[in-house]
Amino acid sequence: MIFGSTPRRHSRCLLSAGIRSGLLALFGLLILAQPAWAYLDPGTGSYLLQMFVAVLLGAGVAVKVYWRKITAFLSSRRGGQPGKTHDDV
Amino acid sequence: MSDTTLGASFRDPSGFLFRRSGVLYRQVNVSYREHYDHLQTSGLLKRLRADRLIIPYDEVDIPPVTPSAYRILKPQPLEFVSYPYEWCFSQLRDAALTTLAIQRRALACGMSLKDASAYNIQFHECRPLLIDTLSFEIYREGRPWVAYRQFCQHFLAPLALMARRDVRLNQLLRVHIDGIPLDLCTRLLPWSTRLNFGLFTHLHLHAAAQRRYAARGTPDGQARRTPRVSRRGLEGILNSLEGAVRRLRWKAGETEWADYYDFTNYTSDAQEAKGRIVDRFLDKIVPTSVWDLGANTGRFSRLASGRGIPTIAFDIDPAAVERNYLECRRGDERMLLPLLLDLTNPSPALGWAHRERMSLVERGPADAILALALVHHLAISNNVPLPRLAEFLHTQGRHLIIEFVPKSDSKVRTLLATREDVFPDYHEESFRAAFAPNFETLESERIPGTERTLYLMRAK
Repeated sequence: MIFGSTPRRHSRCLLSAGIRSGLLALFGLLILAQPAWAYLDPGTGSYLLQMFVAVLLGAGVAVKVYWRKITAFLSSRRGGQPGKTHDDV
Repeated sequence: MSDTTLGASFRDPSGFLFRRSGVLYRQVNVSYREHYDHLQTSGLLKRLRADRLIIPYDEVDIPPVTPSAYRILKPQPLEFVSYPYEWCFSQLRDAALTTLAIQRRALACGMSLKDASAYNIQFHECRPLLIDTLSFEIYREGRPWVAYRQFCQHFLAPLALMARRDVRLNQLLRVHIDGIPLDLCTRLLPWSTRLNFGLFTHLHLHAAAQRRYAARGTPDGQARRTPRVSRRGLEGILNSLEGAVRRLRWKAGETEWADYYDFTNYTSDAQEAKGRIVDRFLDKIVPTSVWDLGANTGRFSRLASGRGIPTIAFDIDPAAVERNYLECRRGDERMLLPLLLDLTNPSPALGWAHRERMSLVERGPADAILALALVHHLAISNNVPLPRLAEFLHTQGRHLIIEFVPKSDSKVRTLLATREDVFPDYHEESFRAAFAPNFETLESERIPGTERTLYLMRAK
């Protein structure tokens, strides 16, 4: 389902929202330290931001993936059904 | 054989749209061959079609426009091309989620969207679909998402402004054709949006990063290395963007028009009688397409769309359009498309040489126009002389179902309560005289229980 009314929960990872916000706020302070207004190439900033944010958010995805694997392994050991995979849309 | 290339696709070296004998085609250039083939062989196209996320098309064997052609595609025609500044909040939100859903599938098939333009999405049968087959490129491991900035400017920024500041700020998209600049967006957003992880990261921090690195010259003239972003990092960014979009909500409150049907001076009997007359007129002319101007939440538009007639329900009120769209979505109403439009200042032709985005007039005419309870607003609230209204409607519709609301009507009395009555010619006789040069009246009928009259006219 692409645009259902129920919001999906993506942030079920070990890094709490608070820690993530804190880390990014710190990064934000660093990045905001030297404001510049020339509007030459907004693409560069977008790429660099992606690089930094991807490290943080990618770690969250990795934790989620391994967490799922662990819970699937444990549930299979207990004789239960492995967790269903689902469409991320 | 005369081909007309479309002004909207000139930027893309991968191909372009053209019209031949009234039929729309897309030429895929040889330079895009590798990516186009991968779209097919990777299974991405099949998957997007199965999930109804891309406009269906056929490859056709016709002479190309230029020798650089690799393939010619014939996409399924759209009933109407609409633009993001004509969408309500939920339409833009659904278009954003569709773009992210497509990017997820693309990554799974080893491809990535190189464009995340809101203009690449169109509403077809009440669903947002990607219309640009050439938007994909083969994904290279480690490459950032090149369309990330565009997604933020075209979708996240206007959605955040609409939800957290004012829903009317979607009109900034009309001025900024490549999406709302992030520095402008962050200046307009409330400070509290910095406490939202997604909005802070993808808008505020993003804008700050743009400002900081835009000003830095490349050291010693060397090319800057493109930063590496892992596939898992891209997934994280997509998750975060999707979460940010889903958390943005706008509730259509009580605006001037959204509760109109509850506060009309019609009795329910008169409303039903009006519906029956419109029904009868529609049966008489059997139009192939209908534009309902001033449609509100679409009560009368549905008389047309319910007959299987492709119908566009235009209204000036974002809340009315939002409610109409949500109702369409709930009921899977495929023949009705609600859109936002200020008829006194309709969408102009925009972009390079005025050819990238069509004006409303260029997208007409419709076979029939519904103009119900509209004339008094244009003539009295907006001082549009009746002959000018007739001339405009003549350019936009071959048939016209129009309601005349006299000065004695309580709604008109309300409009005149706070202004001088400088409309001595606003009466039914002059209304008929004003429309006579452009329209032939086929029929007219007084709506029982009211002082209003419905006219069925045909363009001369």
